[in-house]
Amino acid sequence: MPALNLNLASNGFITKKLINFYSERAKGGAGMLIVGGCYVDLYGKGLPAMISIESDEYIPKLTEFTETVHKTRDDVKIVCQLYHGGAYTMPFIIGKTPIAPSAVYSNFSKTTPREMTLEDIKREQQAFADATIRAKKAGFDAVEICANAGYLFTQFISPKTNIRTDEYGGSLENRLRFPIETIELMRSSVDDFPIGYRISGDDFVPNSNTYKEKAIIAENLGKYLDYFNVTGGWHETKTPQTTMDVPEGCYTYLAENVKNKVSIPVFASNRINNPELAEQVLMARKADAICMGRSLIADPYLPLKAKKGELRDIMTCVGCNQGCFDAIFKMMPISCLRNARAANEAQTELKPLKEKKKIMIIGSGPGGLEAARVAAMRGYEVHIFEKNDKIGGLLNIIWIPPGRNEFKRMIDNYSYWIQKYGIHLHLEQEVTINTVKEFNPGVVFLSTGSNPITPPIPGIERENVFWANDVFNGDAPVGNNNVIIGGGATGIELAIYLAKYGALSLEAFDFLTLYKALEPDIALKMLHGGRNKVTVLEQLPKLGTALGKTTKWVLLDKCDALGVKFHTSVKLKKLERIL
Amino acid sequence: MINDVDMVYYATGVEPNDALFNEIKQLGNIKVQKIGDARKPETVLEAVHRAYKVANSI
Repeated sequence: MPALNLNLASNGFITKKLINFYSERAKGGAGMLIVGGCYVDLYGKGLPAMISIESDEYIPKLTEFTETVHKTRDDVKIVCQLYHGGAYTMPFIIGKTPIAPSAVYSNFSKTTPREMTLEDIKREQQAFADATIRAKKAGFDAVEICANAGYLFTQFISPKTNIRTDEYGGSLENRLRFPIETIELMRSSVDDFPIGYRISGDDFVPNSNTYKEKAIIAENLGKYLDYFNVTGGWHETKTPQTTMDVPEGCYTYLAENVKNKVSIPVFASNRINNPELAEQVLMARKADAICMGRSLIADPYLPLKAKKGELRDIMTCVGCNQGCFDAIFKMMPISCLRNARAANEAQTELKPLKEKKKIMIIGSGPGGLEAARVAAMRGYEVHIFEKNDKIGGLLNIIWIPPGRNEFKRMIDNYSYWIQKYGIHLHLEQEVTINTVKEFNPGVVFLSTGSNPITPPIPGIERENVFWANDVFNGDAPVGNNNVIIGGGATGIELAIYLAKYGALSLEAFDFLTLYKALEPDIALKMLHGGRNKVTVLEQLPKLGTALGKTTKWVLLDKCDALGVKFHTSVKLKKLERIL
Repeated sequence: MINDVDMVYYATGVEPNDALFNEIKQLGNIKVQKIGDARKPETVLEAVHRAYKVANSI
């Protein structure tokens, strides 16, 4: 499990919630838990609720942490990730101007840092060495340097952020001086202690290092390290790294790119959310190990279930980012859309059954299905009544827009759990009060969903006006020139759906270009779509107000690429036919 | 003004469909609780979390 700042520390100290969270993941069978980032110095602190390892006072709690998690499963390896944000932190977090190799404005923190003096360099290097000693004292099995996502190490290696003219800047050899000196100092401070390195496989930032330079960088650093943990680009990249529309396993080529150059173990990361895919990456020798972060937030028991072959039982991460990354960037503790227990393990233990009752759940959207699963696991007799011929409710709509397909996994999961937990499913059953009386349950959960609000605009009753969800359902036609009223999450997703409607499929693209039946540039244009005109009208000044930070820009950039037009602060007067 | 429009779609929010709630309540002998959008339009995350909590506290 890769390091993920869970925003659960208190003033830098380990909390009970962190201990419970990682104990659960240890129980679930993960081989290695990389914890952090843990900031090595106040200058490096990136977010208020990060874990600290900046001084000895943090050692006792860190020791309690490793002891408790090791006690849960003694063969689990616990790695302390050492973190320094450099220019990626903000003055309000550290109470002073951030430091970096050069005073280059950061697109992520929106801050211009102070250029590090030679004294600063020596001090921060020593901080990494001291933190390594502390990690070993506290019972960690290894340390990993957080040298990805645009943090201090990458800032030194990147020609975009390092414009120094001394021995720490200029040539690649000089830009690698800070990392290599730091690793050597860490090595000389502890005996026999593994040091790993989380590397961006491609910064995906203009004028920074691409996968080509990364291969050379990995080759140069490899001899000082025990493993490489390869991930994608910087936080400021315009290439989506984590969102649902990133195809599963998309970035495993970055791990392969590093693996081709080094002889130490290489881990692959990013959007590897199921054991079958993980196995394929290993079998293809793209990596030696698989890192799963969000997938283990969603289901800590994924490794054990994979081992037992219970693949359908895995609560799969859908890559929505709503509970994890969106919360982290809002500086809130993480949670998980799939797993209500994540980061709240102690408070959410299933309660024992008091008295067996018949539970009637009306409607099988995500809420109804989850209530059914939980009640059935506790031992209740659960009956789901669904008016349609299939379960899922709105989930059946949500997964249709391009890039949102992962939501379908929720329906697959619940279909399995209905069997596994013996939940009685009554499909095509429209429930009236008489049905309830006849069935006579002890408890009813009413999860009958919602109805659309029709905006009170003259002309809304016209025959070419439809509710957005009717398009996803296949019940409404798609035009050449389309207008969407409402620029919230649904409106934006519909815009992408309409703009891409009728585009060439991936399979057809692959087929036609392989046989040279169609020019690649023409085929590519047809693949990307954008044949239908779409205009979105929003009455608020902002679009997609309910969308999370990590997903919103991805969807809006996609709209932009597809030529979707947006108008905000619109007051729509009427829809009329002009002859 | 936008001209030559073929199709218009609206995505202007939803409201709870909870018509059965009061009827069941009036029966008197059956405990009833709303979950998901039937209670208040919300995200999938909120619906799942509330469902877990409600189903774990009966």
